Amino acid sequence: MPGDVPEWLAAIRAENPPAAEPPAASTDWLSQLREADGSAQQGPPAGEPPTWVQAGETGAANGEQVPDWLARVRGRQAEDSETGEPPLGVPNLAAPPPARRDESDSRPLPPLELPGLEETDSGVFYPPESPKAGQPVPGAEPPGLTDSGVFRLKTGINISADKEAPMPSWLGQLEAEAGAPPAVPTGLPSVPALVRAEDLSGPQLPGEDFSAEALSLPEWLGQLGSEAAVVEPAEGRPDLAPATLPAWLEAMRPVDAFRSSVEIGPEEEQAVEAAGPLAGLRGVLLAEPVVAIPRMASAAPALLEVNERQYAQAELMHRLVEEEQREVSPAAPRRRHVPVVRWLVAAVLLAAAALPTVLGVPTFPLPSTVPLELDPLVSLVAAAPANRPVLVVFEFEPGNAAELQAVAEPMLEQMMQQGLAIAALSTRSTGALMADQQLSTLGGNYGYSNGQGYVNLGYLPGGSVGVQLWSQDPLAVPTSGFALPSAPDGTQLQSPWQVPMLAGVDEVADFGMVAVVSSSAEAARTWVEQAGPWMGATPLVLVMTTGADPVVRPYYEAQNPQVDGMLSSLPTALSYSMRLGRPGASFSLWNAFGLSAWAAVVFMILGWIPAFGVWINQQRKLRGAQR
Amino acid sequence: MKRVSTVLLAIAAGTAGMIVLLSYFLDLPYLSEASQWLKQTAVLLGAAALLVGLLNLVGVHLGKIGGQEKGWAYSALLVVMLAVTFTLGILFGIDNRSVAALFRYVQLPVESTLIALLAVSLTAAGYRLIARRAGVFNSIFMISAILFILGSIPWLILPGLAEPFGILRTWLAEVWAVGGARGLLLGVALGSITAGLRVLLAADRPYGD
Amino acid sequence: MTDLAGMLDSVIGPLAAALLTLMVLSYLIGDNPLFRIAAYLFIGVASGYAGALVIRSVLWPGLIDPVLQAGASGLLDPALITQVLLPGILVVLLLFKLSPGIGRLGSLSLVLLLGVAAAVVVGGAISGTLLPQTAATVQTLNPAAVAPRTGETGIERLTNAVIVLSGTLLTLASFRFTQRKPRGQVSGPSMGPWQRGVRQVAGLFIAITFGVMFGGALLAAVVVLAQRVQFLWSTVLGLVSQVLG
Repeated sequence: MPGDVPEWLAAIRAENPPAAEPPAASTDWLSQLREADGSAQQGPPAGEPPTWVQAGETGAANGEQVPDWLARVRGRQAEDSETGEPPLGVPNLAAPPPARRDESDSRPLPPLELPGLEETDSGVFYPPESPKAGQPVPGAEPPGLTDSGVFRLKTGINISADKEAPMPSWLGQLEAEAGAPPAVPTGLPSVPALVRAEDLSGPQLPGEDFSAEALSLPEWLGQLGSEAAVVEPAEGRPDLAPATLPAWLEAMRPVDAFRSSVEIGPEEEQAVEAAGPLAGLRGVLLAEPVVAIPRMASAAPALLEVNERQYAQAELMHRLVEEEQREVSPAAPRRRHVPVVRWLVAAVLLAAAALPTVLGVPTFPLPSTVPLELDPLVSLVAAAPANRPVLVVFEFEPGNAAELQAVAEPMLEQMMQQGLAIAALSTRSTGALMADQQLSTLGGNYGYSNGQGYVNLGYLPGGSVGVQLWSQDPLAVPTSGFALPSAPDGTQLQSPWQVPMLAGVDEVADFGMVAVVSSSAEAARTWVEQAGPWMGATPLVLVMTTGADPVVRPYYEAQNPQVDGMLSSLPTALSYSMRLGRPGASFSLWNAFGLSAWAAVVFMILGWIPAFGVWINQQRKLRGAQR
Repeated sequence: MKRVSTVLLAIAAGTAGMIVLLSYFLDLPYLSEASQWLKQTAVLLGAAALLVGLLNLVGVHLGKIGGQEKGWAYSALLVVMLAVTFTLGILFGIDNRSVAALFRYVQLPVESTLIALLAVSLTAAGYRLIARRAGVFNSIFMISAILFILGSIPWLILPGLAEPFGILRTWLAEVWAVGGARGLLLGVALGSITAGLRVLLAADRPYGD
Repeated sequence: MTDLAGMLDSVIGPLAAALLTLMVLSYLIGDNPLFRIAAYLFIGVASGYAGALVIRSVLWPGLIDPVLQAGASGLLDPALITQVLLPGILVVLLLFKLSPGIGRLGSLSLVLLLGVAAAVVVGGAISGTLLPQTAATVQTLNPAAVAPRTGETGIERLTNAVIVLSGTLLTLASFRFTQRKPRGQVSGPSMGPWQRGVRQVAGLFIAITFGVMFGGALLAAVVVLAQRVQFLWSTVLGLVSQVLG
């Protein structure tokens, strides 16, 4: 009779009383449904069908337009009543038909394995070796609509109607519309029931009165109850049958971090959900206190395993961020360096140079001692043959012209006094200009002019290679001369070797003397090394700047000297000029030179005063430390 | 290919150098002629190398002018003066009056004054060397320099000391300094020989790979 | 024109030179634009003159003029080919060094130049310095020898000879081109105790030598400074006399 608790449900309730009482403020729909009928009676309320159902029937009887589906349901009810099947009730809810798949789409699923699970007496899962889907479980009622309208669950996920089991007429009609119902696949994995049969009391809505027959429930829901009522759980066996994951599904599973061994205990040991929509059910994830009630996360997830490299990288990142946030201190203003010493020295030296020049005081005594190298040099120049020109090599830069022109002047004057022809040459780019400037200035006093008395051979390219090549064969190196004079007939000479005074000069040994006026030891050494072997008996004289004198003096101070004469420093040149009786540039520079040199020496000697002060300070500190 | 060309270049440098070096010690006709030709070519190449350096200088400064870099105005002045002097020298000859005037009134005074600045720099350097770093060798260095200068310059006060200081200066410069300078000369000569042989034997390649 | 030339030599030129001298002397106060202008002017004039000199004095008479004089018919002259054309090709190849892309073409010219220069330096060092100076050092030991320049003899000469010889040998010994550490020593000084002693004494001679060179360089610079001041004064006097007539 509608409204009566089905036997299977009663049996289950008797065996498994509810473990947990529903909370007072339960909002689950099932409780509401129970409250709606105002009693704890489970099952659909007894009584007449709802008025609207009756109205529908009446309406139909009265010829009113009824929905097609309602008509079909009624039709089926009529058939069922004729065949003795429990009538179908008008479903209150548009319960979706069970998922059906076309026969062509359905594929048998591999058996699902859940470790630790065993066959449950109410569940759907059957192990592969268990009775096949569709075959009745011994002692269990075949799946189908029960008296309470709860569909007994059939085996398999593919919930398809079992042709052999009784099914509601509406369900069968739906199957007919969808086509031939697919065969129940064998060996399909089963999913445990979410709702136990004894907890089921059918869908009920408040204010509605339904009969069990009027409800359409899935077959699996019905199956839950029948199996639970008949199958006795084996002692010590868990309720769920273990399922086996197919290989492809196993491969898709996340890595071990997420692999969890799920152990589902026996059903009777599982807690009953007390809150939420699943209140009253067993085997579900408890909403409280895990989900609903917030709580602090356990410490376990916060413990990270950090290796050294990660730690170092984290530290680096932390440092970088810190540095970004750190304020850069403003750069200290750059202290302007005041060159006090340089200013003082400059002022003293310039004053020392200007005083004798401008005022003519002081006047320094002329050198009284004659340098040792002066006499040999004078003799050497005096001994130069008059019929052979003398080669003077101007190997200095314009910057050293002031000193070297003053030092070389007396030697050139002696040559000019003796009427020696002078040939000028230079390996410096400005050497020819310097030579022309000095020879033209000095030559004016002795009637020397370009081409008459002296000739400028010009620029000798190639450095040491050019000197060596020129010493071997002066014509092998192209020299175009400098400010070439005109020929006696007025034509322009093309080469300095066309000058008559150079007639008979084929190599460097043909010169009467070679004098190298040099501001650097390198240039002097080049001429000594490269031209020396080709000079034969021709004497070589070096006129040097005072600073380079010590470096080339070993060539002069030897038992077999490579240099026959040396001249350097202003005092020596002044002595030379005094010997010739012709005061030259060295004389005009003597007083300014003397006073400036004294200023420089005194300034350097004064440097020992602060040095002495530092030394005294250090001694004091040492004595203090020793005490 | 690059390696082959490097080897060939090294062989060329070594061969040319060996021909010239052997001509110093051996008097063979073909050797002398080859050495002569190589030296003449080297003289021309040396002059061309100077020209390459000048062109590179112009290129650098033109780049500064074009890029309006810091100090480009100075570069422009340099390029203008270079062009003017070069043009005058090419057109009228290097012994031309205008070129000589540029040398006498621009290059000579500037270069001479730059050397004159050395007097201030050297004096200040000598003062600082004694004042701040009066060690043993620094003191010997400065004492030698001061004695040499005192022996070279005229004495206004105590002129009788000029001669003894002159003798001391001669002894320092012509005995002590000659010994050290001769050692320096020998060392420099050995170093030059080593460096030159390394170039000839391709152990050093200053011409690049 | 003559007046202009005369003015150039008497007024304009000396005035420009004096101004440039003062601009360079201003560097004593500190680096300033005036000094830089003078320096860049100098570099420009010097470079331009050097370039013109090289072309007019070397490359033109050495390479171009012979070809022009020989003409087209003389280009096949073997002497011209070896003396002018071949070096000319090498010179042109060297000019390619200006371009980074084709600079490798000038490598042959560069290696020839460097190879010949290195050989000349080596040859000159051996025959011009090493052998003669070594002989001079040995001859110093001759007790009967007379000092060539000073004429000293006896104890005086021997003392000086010992000083010169000691200085030569100790200074040369202080040159170390390559030095190996003692066997088994990984760190620390690479000299033994006797080497350190040699260096100490050699340092004395080197200090004296460089001190003398420093003094000489200072005296040379003082001469130039005095000459510059004299030039400025003479220019001022000259300009004043020009103005005053």
